[in-house]
Amino acid sequence: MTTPQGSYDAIIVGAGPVGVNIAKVLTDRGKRVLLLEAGRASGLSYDGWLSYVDTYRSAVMKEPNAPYPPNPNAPSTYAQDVLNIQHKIPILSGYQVEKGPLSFASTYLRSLGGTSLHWLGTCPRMVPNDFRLKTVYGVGVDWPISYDDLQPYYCKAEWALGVSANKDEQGHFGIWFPPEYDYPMERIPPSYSDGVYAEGARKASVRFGDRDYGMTVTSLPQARNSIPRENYALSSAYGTKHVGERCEGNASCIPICPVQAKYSALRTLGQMDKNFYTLVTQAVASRLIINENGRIGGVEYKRYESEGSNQYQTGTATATLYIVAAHAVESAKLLLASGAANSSDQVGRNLADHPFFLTWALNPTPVGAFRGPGQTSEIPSFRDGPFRTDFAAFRIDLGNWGWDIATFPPNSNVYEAAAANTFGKTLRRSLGQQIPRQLRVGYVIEQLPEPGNRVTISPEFIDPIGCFRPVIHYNVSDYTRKAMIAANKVSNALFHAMGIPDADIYTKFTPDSPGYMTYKQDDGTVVPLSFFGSGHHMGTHRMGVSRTDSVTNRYSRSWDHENLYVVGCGGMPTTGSSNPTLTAVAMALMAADDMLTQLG
Amino acid sequence: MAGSRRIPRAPSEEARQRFVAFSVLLTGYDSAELWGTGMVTPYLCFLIDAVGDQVTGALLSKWTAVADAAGKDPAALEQLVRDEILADPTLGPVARNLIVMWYLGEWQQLPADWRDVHGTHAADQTCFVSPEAYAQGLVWNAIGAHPQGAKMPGYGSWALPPTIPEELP
Amino acid sequence: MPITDLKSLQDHLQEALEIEHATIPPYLCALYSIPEGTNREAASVIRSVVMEEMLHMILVANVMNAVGRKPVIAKEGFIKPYPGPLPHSDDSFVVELLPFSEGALNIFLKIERPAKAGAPPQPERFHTIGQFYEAIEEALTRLTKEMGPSKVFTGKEAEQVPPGRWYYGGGGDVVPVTNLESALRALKEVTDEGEGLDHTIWDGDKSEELAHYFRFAELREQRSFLPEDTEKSGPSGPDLPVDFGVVAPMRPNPRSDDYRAHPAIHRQMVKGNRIYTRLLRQLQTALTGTPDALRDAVPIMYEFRYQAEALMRIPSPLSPGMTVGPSFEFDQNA
Repeated sequence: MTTPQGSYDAIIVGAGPVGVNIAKVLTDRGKRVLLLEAGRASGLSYDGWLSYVDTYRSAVMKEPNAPYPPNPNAPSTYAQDVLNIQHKIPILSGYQVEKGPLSFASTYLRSLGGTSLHWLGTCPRMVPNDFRLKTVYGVGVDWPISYDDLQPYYCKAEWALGVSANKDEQGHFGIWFPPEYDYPMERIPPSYSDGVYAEGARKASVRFGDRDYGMTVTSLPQARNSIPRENYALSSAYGTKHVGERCEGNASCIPICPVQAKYSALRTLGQMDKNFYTLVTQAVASRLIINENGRIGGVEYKRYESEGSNQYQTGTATATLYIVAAHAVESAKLLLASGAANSSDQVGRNLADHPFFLTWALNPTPVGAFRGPGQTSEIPSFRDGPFRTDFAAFRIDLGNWGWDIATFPPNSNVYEAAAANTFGKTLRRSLGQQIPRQLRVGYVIEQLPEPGNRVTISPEFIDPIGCFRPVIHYNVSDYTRKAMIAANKVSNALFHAMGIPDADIYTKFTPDSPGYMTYKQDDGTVVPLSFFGSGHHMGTHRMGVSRTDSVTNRYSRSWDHENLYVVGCGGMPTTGSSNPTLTAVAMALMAADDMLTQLG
Repeated sequence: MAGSRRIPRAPSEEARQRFVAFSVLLTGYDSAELWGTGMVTPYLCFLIDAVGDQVTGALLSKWTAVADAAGKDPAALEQLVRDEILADPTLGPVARNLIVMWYLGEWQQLPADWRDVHGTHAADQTCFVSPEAYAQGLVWNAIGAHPQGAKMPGYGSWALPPTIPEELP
Repeated sequence: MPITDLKSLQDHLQEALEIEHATIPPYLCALYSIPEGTNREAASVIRSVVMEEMLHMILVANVMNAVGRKPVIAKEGFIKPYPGPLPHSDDSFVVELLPFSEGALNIFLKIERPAKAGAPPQPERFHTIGQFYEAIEEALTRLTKEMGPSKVFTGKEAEQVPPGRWYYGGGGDVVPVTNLESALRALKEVTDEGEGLDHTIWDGDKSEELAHYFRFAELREQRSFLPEDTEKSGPSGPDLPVDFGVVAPMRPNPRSDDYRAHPAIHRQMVKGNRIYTRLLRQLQTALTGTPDALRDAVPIMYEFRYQAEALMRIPSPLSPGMTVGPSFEFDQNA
C-alpha cells in the first residue's frame, strides 16, 4: 500500500477538480503534496475507463453515477435513492439521509476525479451582480470579493479546465475579459436545434413588473475539447494517445465521456510531476486533529484494503498546510466530525442547489434530438435583472437530448408502444415521427442561502467504516418558487414564438413529479411545481468578511485555524445561476496563491 | 446472468431463420439490417435462457404457422400476428419483450401473472442483454440519432440538419 | 523515365494521392473486422495508421495545390479494384480486402516496406512507395532550380488545409506548403511515417512513434519493439497477443454485383458505397480550396464505419461461414 512518507508541505483531502488543481499549482512550484482520495483509483488506465463505459451501457437506470459501481466504504448517492417520487420523508435508504421537507435531489461522486467524472462540463462565469446581491437587490449576502477580484482566476481556471468558447459572445451583464485574453479553444459548434430556438427567441418577449424582457441564444462555454487556439496544448484521454482530441458527439457527457474530451480532474493529474505528489486512494479522511494552539496538527484517515470488506487501518498524516477540498457536503461533514472551523456555526449551513426546472414540448419539425453534448447553447437573458428583488435569477439551458429526464425517452416511448402492441413499420415510423421533434428547456435557478438548509451529522447514521453519513435538511423558498413560475411564463413565450401551440407543450406537474411542491399565488391559486437537482452543492463552508458569519476568508482560509483551507463550491456565499465548478476552481486558484505565500 | 452458461448455446440454423423472419415483422427492419446488428444469435440465446426451450419453440412454431397462413398478404399477416400471438396470454408478453429487446437491447422481466403460470428463469431479470446490445438498439436508428455513449457520430455532427434514415420498400 | 516537366510532376502527385488512398480500404477492412472491445492494441495500431494515411492524403493535396494542380478524388477510377496491385507499382504483389488476419498483415508489410539502402527513385512501376516519392522529391528540387520557385509554387496557401485545426486523432500534423523546403518537408513526413526515418524503425526524430511498417511487424510477430530495437533485431519487448478467432470472417474482396440476387444485402452494400462516395466528395471539396469542409467529412467517416461494421456481421449466402463486408465502390448515384 502507498504509505505517506514523512511530512508534506500540503495535504489535500479530495482528488476532484478543486483538490487536483490546487495540487498542480503547489507541485509546479516544487511543493510536496499528499492527495487523499476516499474513493477508488478510477480512470488511471484507459482500458479501466472503457469498463466504466460498458457499465454505463448496461445500466438499466442511466443516472449520473450509473457507470461507477457502488463502493460501500466510500458511498455515493445514486439518483434512485433520492428521487422521492413516493414522497416519503425522511429517506434513509441511500447514503445521504434526507430529513426534508424536500429531498435534496442532486448527487455527487466519491472517486478519483470526483464529480468531474460525471459532470456535464458547463462553465459560464458568474455575473458581477451575483457577487453583491445584498447591496444591489437587498437579498442574500455579498461575497467578500467582487467579479473583478476573481476575474484573473477565471482566466486561469478556463485554461486549467480547457474551456471552449468565443469571448465576444460572453459579455453578459457586465462579464468582461482582458483585451489580450481569449479562451483556450473555439466554441463548441451550436447544435441544429439551437438555431431553431434562436429563430423563436428573436421574436419572444415577456413582462416582469414594468419591464419587457427579450431573449437571445448564445453558445455555452464548456470544458470540452474543440479547435484549439494558439498557445493552447490540447490534452486528450488519460493513459492513451490521440483519443478525445475533439468532442465526438457521444451525447453521454452525464454520466461519462467515453473519449475524455470532456474535462475531468484526471487530465490535471496527468499534467503533474509525479516526483512532487503522493496519491493515496481508498483513504477516507475521518478527522482533522486540532492542536492546543488552534492549528491543525494532522489528518486521521481510514484506509480500506478492499471495497468489499469494512476492515480498515487508521493512519495519520501531517503537513504544514491542510486543504479540505472533498466536495461541499463531504468537506462540511469532515469539519463537523472534527469539531473544526465552526466558531461561526455556519459549517454545513446555507446548503444550496440550483433547482432545475424543466419545460418540454414538440417542435413542428424535427430538430434532431439526442445529438451532441447535453447543452451547447443557453438563453442568458435572465441571469440578472431588476426582478431579482422579487424572485431568483435563472439561466436557461437548451437541451439537446429530447425530453431527457422529464420523461426518459426513447425508452419510455418504446415501452409504451410495445405495451400497446404497436410493432413493425408503424412502430418504426411513429418513433421517428415524435422523438426527433422533442424540445426540453431547463431553468437553472438561484437559491438564496438559508441557515436551515444544511448538512448535519448524527451518530444514528454511520457508514460501514464508521464515518458519518450526511444528514440533509432542505427546502426551497418562495424566492425560488416564484422564479419557477416566471420561468414557466418565459417558457410559454418562447415556445409560442417558435410556433408551438399549447397542445404541443407537454410540461405537466403532478404529485408524482420529482421535487413536487406548490406555490400559493396572491390571488389564491395554487400552482403545482416540480424540479430536479442540477448536481450542484454549494454554500456549506462559505467565505465572508467576518468570522462571525462565515467559515473562511476570501482565500478560503479558515478563520479559526490558520493552516487550514476549505475550498470548493461550499465556499460560495451565493450561487447566481452559473454552474459552479468553474467558479470553484477559480476560487481554488486564488486560494492556492495564498497557500504559496504561506509556504514561502 | 445470460452469457455465463458453461456450454454456450448454438441454436439451429432453422431456429435462427424463423427468429429473424419474426423479428423482421415485429421491428419493421429487414433481415440484412437485423443481421447487421450482430444480435440475432445473442437475442435468440437470451430468449431461450429467459423463457426456456418450450415457450421459445411454441412462439417460433406459431409464427411459422401464421406466416404460412397469411401467404403474401401483409394485412392478413398483421392481423394474424395480433390475434394469434400478441393476444395470446403465453406468447403475447414474450413477443412484446422481443420488440423492446430489438429496439433497446433490454429485456424486461415478464409480468407476475405470466410467471405464475410458467414459472421463472434466473435470466428473466430486467437488464440489458449486453453493452453491445445497448449500442445496437434499433430505436436510435429510427430517430436519426445514435445510442448515447456509443457509435459516436463525430465532431460537429450535431450542427448538421437532422435526417431520419429512409424506410426501405 | 524521370519526371520532366511541371505537368508530369502534377500528374505524379495525383498518382501519389491514389496510392495513399489505395491503402485505406484494406486497412479499414482489417480494422472494422475487429469487434469493439477485442484486440484493443491491434485495433488502436491499425486505426493510428489509417489516421496517418489520411494525413498523407492531406499533405500530398497541399503540395498539389501549392504547385498549381487541384486533386481529383471523387471520380470513377480513383478507388482501385481489389484484388489488384498498388496503382503505378511494379505489380510485385496484390492488395486484397481481407479481415484482420496474418494474410492481411503480410500484405500491409509489403505496402509499407521500406526501400533498401541505395534503392533508386522510381517514378513508374515503383517497387516501394518510398522510391516513388523519391522520384517526386528529386523532380521537385530539379524543376524548382530550373524554373525558379515562383513558376513552380503558384498556388494560394489559403486553399490548403491549415495545421492544428482539422486533422486530429493521429500522429503528425499538416504542413503548409509555400516553397521547396516546406514541400519536401511535407513529403518527408509521408515517407518517414510509412517506412521510417533514415532506416530506423521510428517515424521521426523524437522516436515516439514507430513507422507503419514496424507497427504492423509488431502485430505480425505479436511482440512490441523496445526503444533500442532495430529492423534487424526485430521486436524484443513484451508480448502483444492477438486473437484472430473473434475477428469477423469477411469474405475476401466483396463486390456488390455478387449480391444482386440478395436484394436486402445488396441494398446495404449500396448504402455503404454511397456513404463512401459522399465521403470522397466531401474530401474533394475540402482539398480543392475549401478546407473547412473537412469538419463535415468526419461525421461521414463515422457513418461509413458503422455501416461497414454492420456489413461485416451479415452472413454471406455466397460463402457459408463468412460475412459480407464493404466493397468500397464508387457510386455515381450517391
